[in-house]
Amino acid sequence: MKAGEQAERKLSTAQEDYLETLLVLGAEQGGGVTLTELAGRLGISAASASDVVHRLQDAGLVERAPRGLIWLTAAGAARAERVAARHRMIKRFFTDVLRVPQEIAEDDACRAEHALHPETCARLNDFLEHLDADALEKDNTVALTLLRKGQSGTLVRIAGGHAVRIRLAGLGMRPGVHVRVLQNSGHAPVMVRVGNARVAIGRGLATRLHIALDPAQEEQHG
Amino acid sequence: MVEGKVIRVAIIGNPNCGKTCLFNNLTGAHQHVGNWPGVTVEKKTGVYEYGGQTYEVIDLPGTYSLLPYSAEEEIAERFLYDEAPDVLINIVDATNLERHLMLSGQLVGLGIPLVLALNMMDEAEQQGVRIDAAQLGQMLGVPVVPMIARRNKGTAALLEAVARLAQSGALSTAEVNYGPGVEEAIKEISSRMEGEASRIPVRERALALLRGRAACASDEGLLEQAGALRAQLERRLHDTLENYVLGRCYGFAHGLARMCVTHSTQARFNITEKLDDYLTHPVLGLVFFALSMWVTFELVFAASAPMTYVLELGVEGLRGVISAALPQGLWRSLLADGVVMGVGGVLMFLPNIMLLFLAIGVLEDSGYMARAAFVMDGIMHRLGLHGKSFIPMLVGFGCTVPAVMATRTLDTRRDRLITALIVPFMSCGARLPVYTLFISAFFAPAWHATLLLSLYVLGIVVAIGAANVLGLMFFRKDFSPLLMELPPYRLPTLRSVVMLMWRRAWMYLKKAGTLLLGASVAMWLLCSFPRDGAALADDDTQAGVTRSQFENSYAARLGRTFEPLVRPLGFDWKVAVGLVSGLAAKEAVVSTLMVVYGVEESASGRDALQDELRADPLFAGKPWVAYTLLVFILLYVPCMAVIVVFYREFGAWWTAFMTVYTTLTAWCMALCVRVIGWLAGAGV
Repeated sequence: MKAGEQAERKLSTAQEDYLETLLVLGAEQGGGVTLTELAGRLGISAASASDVVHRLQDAGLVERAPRGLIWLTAAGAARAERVAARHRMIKRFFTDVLRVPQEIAEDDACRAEHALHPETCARLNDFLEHLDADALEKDNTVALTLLRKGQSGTLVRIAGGHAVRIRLAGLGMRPGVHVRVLQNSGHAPVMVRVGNARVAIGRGLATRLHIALDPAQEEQHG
Repeated sequence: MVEGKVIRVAIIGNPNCGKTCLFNNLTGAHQHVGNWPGVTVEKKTGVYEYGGQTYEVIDLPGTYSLLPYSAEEEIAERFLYDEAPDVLINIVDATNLERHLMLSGQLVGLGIPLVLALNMMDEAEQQGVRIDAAQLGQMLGVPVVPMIARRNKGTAALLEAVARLAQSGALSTAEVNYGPGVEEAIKEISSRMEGEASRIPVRERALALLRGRAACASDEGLLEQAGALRAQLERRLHDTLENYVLGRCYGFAHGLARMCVTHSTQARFNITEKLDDYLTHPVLGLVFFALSMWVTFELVFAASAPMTYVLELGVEGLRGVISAALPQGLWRSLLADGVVMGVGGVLMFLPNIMLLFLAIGVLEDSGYMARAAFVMDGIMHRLGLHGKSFIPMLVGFGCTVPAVMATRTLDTRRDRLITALIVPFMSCGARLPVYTLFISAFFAPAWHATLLLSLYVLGIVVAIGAANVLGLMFFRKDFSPLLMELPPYRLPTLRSVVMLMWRRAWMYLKKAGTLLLGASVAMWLLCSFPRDGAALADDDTQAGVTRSQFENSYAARLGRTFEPLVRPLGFDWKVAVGLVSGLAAKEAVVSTLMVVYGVEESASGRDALQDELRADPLFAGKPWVAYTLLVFILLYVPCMAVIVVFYREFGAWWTAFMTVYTTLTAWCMALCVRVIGWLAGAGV
């Protein structure tokens, strides 16, 4: 197990992409993949693809059958499956939690899946599993940072931070309270009116405040 | 109530609800009232008499709840538990009553007679908020006094209410219901605490124990039981106990507000939000910010010129009087050279300081200071700092001492320390006389402003670099998010602005009068001794003789000892002596150089010193050496007063670190500047 983990970490970004692509192409075509097909999907030349495939072969993750067809080995398939799962998980975090548009989420997930430490991935996975799926789907909240100036709504949930929740409560920011955005732009904090007070909230924190928009405004601004 | 006993009254409330103002009204204490959240960072006390009885008033730091989050709140919480006052005044903002009553909910159970000061009644009325004070008092079980602290209205009624409460010792009958689970746990703990003698009601102690305040436990077993109960509760509540309890307090406040507050349905024009549309606008806000800073600096540096001139004349006059009245000799030299010249140089700078704090007072009182922090937060955040760090840094341009103290407005130790560690790089006002002396001595007038500005900018750049390096070195993880209340805009009151100005000016003068005079006299002693017999008998005030005698003095020896250290920067022993004396206070560099160069009678000491400096082969024709020196003076360890304050705030280790790292930074930067000058072919 230990050795396996080490081997996993040694894979480069490109190698992971190859595995993932082989998995996808394999599923689409139902069998082996030619070097040309693989290179075409990755958008590179066959010559440079060959180099990486050789290395994957050395690692025992792919094998090349006669006629040059490339197959994932059992170990390679498992590895590719994990890479793909990680991709889906990160994309889900971007779309479901951060409410990033699909295309951007897809692009960013492609990049982020290679950059994250396994520990971070494990935590992210835990986070998503523990997220109440219903809450995400139904309550239709958005992060405070996504509200425009003048929009208002109800604070539904504060994600994380015990200490910060206590401080927020001290300033009147508790779940159920009604807030109106007075300023929200660029890198400046978000300014909201809560009760009869104005509170400035740093952007990092503001993304953790989930707001249910007032119905009238949802229609207005779509 | 025992006759002759001093009754202790504490004032508690959210930041920015007029606490300090009320404190001033009660005690007449000369204290600053600002509009910046957290202005009251220290425990302040005062005394008043009412009906033949003496009362001691303690102004507690602003606190949002008794569940401490910041250093200020910890002070307030600990005070209430450990040093029970006889009466507690809870001041609340009538315009935002519900939120303020949440704190009241946590106070009613403490077992301290409580009076509610309902402040800002005028603003509430303007906003169409009507409060039924009698109903509120009945429901809360405490006297309620409506008032307008800014206009000193309602103070008499409050004094009377406090006096009556001190007599009767009546406690509030209201209590927050913490919900079935918590209430049962409290009962369980309470039953085991019965019989323990304590001022704090058993219910409150039981809750504190549940929350993990070990000090409330009489034995280990009880503490363990409380811990187990808490864990059980939190699993059931799906929440931390603190958060849940706070939620119940919130419910309590909400209930009170619903019964006692009515809002007029009419929509009112909100001047604060209209102004904020522009003043915190992403673009216009920054423009206005830059403009306000520019006005501040113009006010401080241009408007003070005539006043400085008048002071200069006065000091010259005094010096003339002393020279004429006293016979030539040691005493005349001490008074005229040591005392008058030393303190004179300090006084010259007083107008700057007064105008600076006049400006800061207006910024704070008007409510703009918090907006400045708001518009700057985006930028400051990327520099690894907090929007709130901006205030100490801005104050740092006036004086590093209050700036280090102002770091207390920041919420976490990380932010406080990083800000305090970089604040010394903000060029304080005391460094200005040194800059102007050298810049006007060595550079053409057209360059003065640019060079002066370059020093300020360099300080800021170094500070930003230091903030990031320090952040990476010591405080990788805990970055606290910005979270602050923006007070409404108000017209600054003349009284509080002028009070602030006088306080700061007085602080500066006191520092000048003691530390600087001491430093100046000490320097004079070091420069005048050892003296040979001839000099004693026939003290000649001719510069040449004094200087030849000076070459032999302790000061010169001290300077020579340090010379090898500053030699790589292109300085000599005379400069080293000045730098050493700058430890006493940076402005002392000027007065020391006057003594070192033996500057004597002339129309103006500064002009004479400038002539001497220009004639010195060290600087002659080499203005870049002067600029290198200014860079060093900008960055090296600030005065002893800063070291003392820093020690009090952050302890010995960090003080030692601050002293060493600022000086090392200064040395490296000065060397860089010298090398750059050398590469550019400037005279070095």
